[in-house]
Formats: sequence, C-alpha cells, structure tokens
Amino acid sequence: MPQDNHHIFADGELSRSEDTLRIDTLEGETKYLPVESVGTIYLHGQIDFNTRALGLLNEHGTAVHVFGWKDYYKGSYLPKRQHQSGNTIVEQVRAYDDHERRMRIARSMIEASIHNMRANLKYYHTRDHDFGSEIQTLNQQRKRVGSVSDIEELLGVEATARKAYYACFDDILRDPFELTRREYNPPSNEANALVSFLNAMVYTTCVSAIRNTALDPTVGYVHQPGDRRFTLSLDLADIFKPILADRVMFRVVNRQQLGIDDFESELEGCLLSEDGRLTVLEVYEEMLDQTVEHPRLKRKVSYKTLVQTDVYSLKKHVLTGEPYRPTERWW
Amino acid sequence: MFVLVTYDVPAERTRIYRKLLRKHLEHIQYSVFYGDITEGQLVTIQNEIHNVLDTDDSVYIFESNVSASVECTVLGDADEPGSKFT
Repeated sequence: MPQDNHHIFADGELSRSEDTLRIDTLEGETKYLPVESVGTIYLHGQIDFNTRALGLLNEHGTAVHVFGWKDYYKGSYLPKRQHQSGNTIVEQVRAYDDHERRMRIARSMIEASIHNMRANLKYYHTRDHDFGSEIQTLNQQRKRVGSVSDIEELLGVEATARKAYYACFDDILRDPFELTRREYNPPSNEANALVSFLNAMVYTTCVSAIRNTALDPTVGYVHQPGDRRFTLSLDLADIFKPILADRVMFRVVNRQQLGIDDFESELEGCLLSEDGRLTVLEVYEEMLDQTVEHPRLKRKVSYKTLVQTDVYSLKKHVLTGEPYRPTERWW
Repeated sequence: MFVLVTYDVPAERTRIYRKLLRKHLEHIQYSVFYGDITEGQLVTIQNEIHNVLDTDDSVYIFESNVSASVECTVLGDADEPGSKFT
C-alpha cells in the first residue's frame, strides 16, 4: 500500500527530532510528521533543512520533491536506493536496445494513453457535449499505433491524438477558462498554467512510484533518454495525465472551486497563486486516494496504487516477458 | 485502518510514549494519538509499547478496520486530524 503524501506550503524549518520529522513554521507553529507513515514530502514553501533531517528521510526511504519559484518543479531528493538490482537494469536497457521490444512497450504505452484520453472525452460526450469527431480521431490514431514501425512515427500519432484531445478542453472548461492552444514555458493563460502544474504533479507521482522498484527512471521507452530528466517518468506520466491531472482540472474549474483570481500574471506568463495551488492539490490528493475495484487483484485499489502496479507490471515484463498491461481506464 | 491511542502514565514517563507514538501517528492532544495506518504498522506499535510498559502505565488502543466508517467531530480551537498540508 502506498503511503500518504505530505505537502508543506509554510515557510520554515524541517528537522529531525525524537526520531521523527518536525516542522517549525515561521509563524511559530510546531508540527510533527509521523515519519513511518509519510511516503513522499512535497516542499512548496521556503524550507531550511540539514543533513540530519535528510538522514532520517533516507532511513525511511521518504522521497522529497522540491518546488521553487511559483511552484516550478525544481528537483527531488531521492533516498539511497532501497531496491537495487543490476539484473533489472540490464534487462531494462536490453528491452530499450532491442527495437522490437522497445516498440512493443512504447506502443502499449501510447495505446493506453490514447485510451485514457478517449475515456475522458466519452464521459463528456454523454453529458451534453459533442465530441463525436474527436473521439473518431482518437480511435483512428489508436488503430494506427499497431502499424507504426519506429518511434518518430509513434510520437507523431501521439501528437495528433493529443492535439485533438486538447482541442476539446476549451469546450469542457467552464468560461472564462480557455485552452485554445497548449503552451508552456511559461504557460500563457490560466488553463495552460493549470495543465502545467498538474502535469508536474503527475510526473512526481510517477518518480516516487518508479523509485519503489529497481527500475532506472532515466531509461524510458517512448521518450528518447536524454540528459537531466527522468524519461521513464515522462512515459508513465503520459498514461496517467488524463486519469489524474485532466480530471482534477475539469473538476476544480467546472465546480468553480478555482476562479480566474486564483492566478497571477507576470512576465508574460500566468501562474497559479498560492491559494490556488492549495485548492488544486487538495483535489489532486483526493483523486489519488479515490479507489476503484480492480478486476485482477480482486480488491479495491486507490489511483495511487494503480500508478504503482503499472510500474510493477512494467518491471515484471522487462524481467520475465510477462505481458505489460499499462493502466487503461476500465471503470 | 483507523487507530486511536491514548495513554496514562507517570509524568516522567510520558516522553517515552510520546516519542514512540509520534513516529507512526499524529499527535492530536497531550496523550492522544490518531492515525490511518496499516495492520503491520499497528503490530509494530503494539510490540514497541510492550517493550517499554511499566507497572503503573496504561495504554488504550481503539481501532477500526475501515477508517472511513469513523466519524470525527472537532470542537473548539483545533484542526481536523489527518491533514496532508502544512
């Protein structure tokens, strides 16, 4: 069972005290975090910490994701690897190097991703929106996945599908939110800012899940393994963005939990305010804890567990050749 | 699962229990701890308590298998337990 996340928005100090984590905020509040029960910590505020605190996090295998100015993802402190297996890494790289095997994994990832996008559109299609033609496009692209022979072509298919998908956002989102074009670095308007922030959250969720296995996060299958980023997390995040990020976005906007005044425009970009981020994260955390009956595991599992089982499935596939089943919304 | 632990021990021994329980649970009042944890974690807590128990100490552990079935009302100046935000 994955453990809970904890988000620290306050400015202050994170330290080790009596064998557990202690937060002293600048407002003079002291809070203790049960280190045995916290899985991942997100730092959104200005936090001081020292090596004693890091040592404790290390002992308990707690990852820390750091967000900087305007909650731009800065990086992660990942504890010393608890799962080490040369065998897994060798097999993971072999699967990457073997064109056929890589394509098989990449194809199933893209298929799952398109399937999950389509599931979102279908949901709104039955609720007074007309996305017939976009759903058609997604169906076509999903079929094309089976016939592509290299990664570039596959990325093209994915891009076409995603474009058709994002084109529907404007219609789904309640006015005055609008997403005519997906833009980032920096996001140009409120909807883009929201997508960027939530995508970063999905990415970190995947980083934490991959870290619980011996897989190497830098070797991905769809994305080209470059420098400075965890390509495997990017691959997995694409599968989960429609399930986690996009649904949260539609919810906070359409239920008017978030308004235009929860954003700040600065330097030609637009970003969420601190209150806005808190609102979004509360809903995102609820979404991670939401459960669904799993047909193969025969029990209820949370969405967060789904991310974890997806990684396990990939690892099993790489090691034993058992079929990789990326998460496709079945509920 | 939902767990509520309370203790009544001589003043000089309270820190032993506080230190032990803070690692796993949220400290909601002086000698009251709450948490949504796994069965395994609860066994660990019980074992750790057994190791430090003394003649005058008493500890209550309330538990429920489904944490969602426990209703909690907070009155006065206090936060809801189980917040994931600081």
